[in-house]
Amino acid sequence: MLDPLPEAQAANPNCSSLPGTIVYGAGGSAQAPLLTQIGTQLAKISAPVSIVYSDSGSACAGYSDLVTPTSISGTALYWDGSGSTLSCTLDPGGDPVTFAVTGNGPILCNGVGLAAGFGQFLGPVQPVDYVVPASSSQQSISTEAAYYIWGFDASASNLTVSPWGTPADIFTRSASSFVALFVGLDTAVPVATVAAHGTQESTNSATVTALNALNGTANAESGIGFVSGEVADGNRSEIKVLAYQHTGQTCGYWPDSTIDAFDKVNVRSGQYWLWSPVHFYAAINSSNQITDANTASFIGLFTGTATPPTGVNVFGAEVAAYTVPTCAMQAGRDGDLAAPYSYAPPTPCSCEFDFATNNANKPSTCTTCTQDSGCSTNHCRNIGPPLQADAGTGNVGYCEAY
Amino acid sequence: MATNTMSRRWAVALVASLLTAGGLVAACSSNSNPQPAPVYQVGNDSGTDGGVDGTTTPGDSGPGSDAAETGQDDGPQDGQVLPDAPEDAVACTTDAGCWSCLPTTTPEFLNQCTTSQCTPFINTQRLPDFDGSLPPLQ
Repeated sequence: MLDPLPEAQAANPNCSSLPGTIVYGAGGSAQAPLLTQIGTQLAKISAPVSIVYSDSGSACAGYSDLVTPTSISGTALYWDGSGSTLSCTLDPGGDPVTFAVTGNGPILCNGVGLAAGFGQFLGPVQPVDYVVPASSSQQSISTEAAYYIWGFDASASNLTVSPWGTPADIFTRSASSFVALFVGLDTAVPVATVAAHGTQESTNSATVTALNALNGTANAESGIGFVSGEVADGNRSEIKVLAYQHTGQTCGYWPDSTIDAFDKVNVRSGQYWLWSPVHFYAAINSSNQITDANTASFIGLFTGTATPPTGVNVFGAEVAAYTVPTCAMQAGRDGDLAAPYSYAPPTPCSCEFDFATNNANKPSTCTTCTQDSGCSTNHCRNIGPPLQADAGTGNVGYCEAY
Repeated sequence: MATNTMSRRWAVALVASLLTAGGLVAACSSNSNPQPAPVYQVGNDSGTDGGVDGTTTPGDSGPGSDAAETGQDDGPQDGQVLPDAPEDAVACTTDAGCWSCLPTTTPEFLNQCTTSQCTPFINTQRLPDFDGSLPPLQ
């Protein structure tokens, strides 16, 4: 829970007084950009929905808040339609959480899997990124290097990876955070060890702030940490995403086709190893349906079971949050860092995503269209307002592979 | 299945592109690059449009499914694409060492031919006394 200063708390509105339908959730900070995007859109529609989110700094704490269940208290985040992340005060007696958001599955939290009576619902895909200050000259990291860094914390010269030899400039997260859990799983370093090695930050954004503080200092080269791709991509002026070379690779790849791109080409293909769908959790009935109608409508936006209200563009929210809609993926996996498999989404949006993210190397067949006959693939999909202003004002679609 | 057709198209196209890109790929796999590591472009003209064509019949769910996940399934997943027959490892591995067919194993995913840039992290140069094994955690 967030424990605000009393004077700050007094300035916040009560969460229960926010406009429209209120849906309470809890989880980590890795997915805050996605919630910001969708929360902002939902706050602006004619029948507004206010998403109230307890960002306790830990994915597993949020999951626990849902399944224990625990009423959240103190302050929470919400969005008012302006795009800003704001704070509100929860009821003194606490408010019940009806959904949780994490990047990882429950097994990494509790070792036993999904709690009885709760369902897991997968949203868009996000990478986990190793990051350094933007002014660092470093370009890449390997699984083995991460093992050294968070396994030994530069405790001795023969266990140090240059230039990351200053323990205070190595940043980590708590053992219940999604990104720390993934680094531990990726490197086979116990997450408790990962969390104990380096300066521990409370949120993804705090890690960015800490690394940014090293820019312009003599320690810029020694700074390193890890954050969600959502948070990393929204802060590229402050931090640099490292290319990641997983065990078995001879070259490190960025989540994107280049260090400057946002096309997530290597996440979509499965060549970049560190990725996972956003995981939503909610109470379900015996038919695996979410029991709370408002929560079902919210999570259904990401799973496709709910029709977006007028004014809500889920694809746009996912792209703006630097995630990959499932329809743009060519790789799937069933479990945290599980072996990938080739995946064909039922209704692809790979071309649309390429346009939305300005993929310079999109296939030659990927063009805009207005009807099937305008595509060499004969599949003009997702017709709607153009993604880019220079495409004109008429609705266009995108030539997808099938 | 159609995916094999697509794979063959990839392979044909890759031969041409990798004739010119092969040297760069080899450099990308080299262990003699100075630090900071250079950035390479690994050639491939298959783009990012997936390894399926119009005759593939994906399932109605998969990642992002609206069904609650209750456990692991060892069988093929909805939306999972499999080749009709095991790919020919020799035919699918280019001279540059990248995988040019539909990937089905983790090494194949990790070493796909791609148009993306990459930059190596040379463990033997960057990690103390690295000989391929990792020191035990203390």
